[in-house]
Amino acid sequence: MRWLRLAWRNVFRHRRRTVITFAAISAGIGYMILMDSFMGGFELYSMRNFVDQEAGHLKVHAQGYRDEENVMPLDVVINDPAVVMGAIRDKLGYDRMTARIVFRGELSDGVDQLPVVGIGIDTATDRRVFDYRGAVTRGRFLADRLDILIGQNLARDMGIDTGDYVTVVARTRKESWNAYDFTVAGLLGTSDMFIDMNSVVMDIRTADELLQMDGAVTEIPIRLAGMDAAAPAKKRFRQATAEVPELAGLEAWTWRELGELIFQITGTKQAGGFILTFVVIVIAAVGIINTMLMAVMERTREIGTMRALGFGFKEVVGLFLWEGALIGVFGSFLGAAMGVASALFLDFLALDVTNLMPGGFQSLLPMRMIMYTDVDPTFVLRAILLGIGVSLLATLIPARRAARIQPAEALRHV
Amino acid sequence: MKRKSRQYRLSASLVFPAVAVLLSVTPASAELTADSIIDRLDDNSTAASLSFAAKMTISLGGQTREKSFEGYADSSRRAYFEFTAPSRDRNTRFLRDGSDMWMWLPRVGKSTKLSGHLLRQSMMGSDFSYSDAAENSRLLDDYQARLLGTDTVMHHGDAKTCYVVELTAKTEDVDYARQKVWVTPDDFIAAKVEFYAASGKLLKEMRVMSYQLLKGRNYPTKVQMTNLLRKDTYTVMEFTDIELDPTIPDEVFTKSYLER
Repeated sequence: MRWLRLAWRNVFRHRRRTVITFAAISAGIGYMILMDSFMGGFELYSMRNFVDQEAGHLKVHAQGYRDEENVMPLDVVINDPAVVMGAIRDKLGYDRMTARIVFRGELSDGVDQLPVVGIGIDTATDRRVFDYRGAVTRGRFLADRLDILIGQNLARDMGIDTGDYVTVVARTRKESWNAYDFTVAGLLGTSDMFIDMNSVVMDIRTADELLQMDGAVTEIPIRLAGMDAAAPAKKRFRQATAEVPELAGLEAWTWRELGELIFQITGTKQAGGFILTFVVIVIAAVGIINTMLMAVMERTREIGTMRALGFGFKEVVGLFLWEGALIGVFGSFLGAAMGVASALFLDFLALDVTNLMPGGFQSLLPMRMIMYTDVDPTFVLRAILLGIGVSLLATLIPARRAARIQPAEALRHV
Repeated sequence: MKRKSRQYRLSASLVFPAVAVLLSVTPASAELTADSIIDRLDDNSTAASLSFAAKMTISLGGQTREKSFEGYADSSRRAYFEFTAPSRDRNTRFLRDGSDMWMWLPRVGKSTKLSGHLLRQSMMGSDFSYSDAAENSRLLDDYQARLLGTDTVMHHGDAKTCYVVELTAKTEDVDYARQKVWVTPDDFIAAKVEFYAASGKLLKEMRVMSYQLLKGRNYPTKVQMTNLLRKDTYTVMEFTDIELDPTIPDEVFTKSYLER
């Protein structure tokens, strides 16, 4: 305790220098936490988006659908969705689910014809899993059987507005051409670019007729209690497929599996984090070494006196380590506090940074970017420990130099 | 009067030697039935096999692009063709076997199966879909024909009175649920074909612009296809070189040939 008090006083002998060192460490640690929170927020945001707009927590398909998913086959389907949903409700106890028909088609406005992904939704139950009603940015939600919602980016590209007539052309389940004319009821602005750029949404009954599905659907998305519930639910579902005849021939996929590709891209987080950590270590280390070396230079006579009074090598090193530790601890905690505070503040602001993202980013990860942050407590703790650890290690060099000073020489030092 | 002149032209076409099939038309009724009209159209426009070189002129929004390709097709829905020009598309190869289709890109050096949505898309940006382009089957195999009457359409710059036949798909798995064909009464050419979706929506229109007498058949050699869901677009496909009923080695319609 005596050493600590001494170290404390020593640290504050040169306020300005100490403050600068503090600032360096704090800025480093704060920045590190902020960046991690930003990346974490981005990851969480993209996952949530994906779950809320595209995947649900768990998605039931006919066996083999996923192997051909890019084709969006209409012959690998769930033939009797009502029976399947009934069985899921009764045997597994999940009740927030809906049925969808997802298909590939082409959208024509009489001028251009572009490939689109068509989504047939059950307007009564879709809200149990997704919310497209709230995503209508212009016009209104589906009211009529021949109403259609169009992703706002797609509509903008084609020059389509609400009230316009469009044609959706698609191959039926039997591979014959079919086409229906629709009225554009509204434009969809989800934060999922896949939907905003590529998709048209219609009543599932219309999709059923257009594609001659005879009541079959391509998927049953389910909403669970939370993101983590998906994996155990998948396991339960797999067991149920063996025991419940209504569920035979079906398989379930978690949102994480479905979004594998998207989350792989966000996996660059780790690499970015490593570089960041390295930079922070260098900043903190240089700051500490500088401060301590200055202290050793200035306090040569003092150290000589201490040595002359019988303080040993270890005790001198110890004193300096305490000083380094103090700077490290305070700097790190201050930095962590600043980092967490600014992360929370940014989360509160929720800035739309879609247009600030580098070009090409949109095509890589098609989504609207709202800057949310997600503070990871373990990362904050690790950042603080890193700050303290680096401070201690960086102090070691000047401290040893100080301790090696010969008392007689030191006392002559001006 | 009109009818008489038509019958005259009709009998003139009977002079062509290889249309012996015509004789199967019940002589008792001098009137042609829908089936016999389409039968004769099929006789003209399908071949047991085909080897060809073709040029495709895609016109879109006032600009035209030309693409050339050559290949083979047979009557059992097999086709092989590869692009020869422009250089960007050269050596892009296609193989169709029934409802399966593969594409081979020289840059990729590997064949990809064109299933589902890819097969539905337009071939190289034209008004033909991949399956339109590879079609060489008899209409009566897939469709029920019904004679709607006669109608006058422009054909080779002349107003021509044609038989109008409605074709309704026998099964649900053909490309177009309904077609309407304007058949010229003298040379049995499709002056105009309208392709309809199951919903009744008119999707595409095709016109035969010229034909050649080949092995006793009035074989269409220049065809214009218009995708009515796009504006200012049409594609003209013209055979620059064609041989009907050649012997094509089976090996041509294999993936190993495609990937050679």
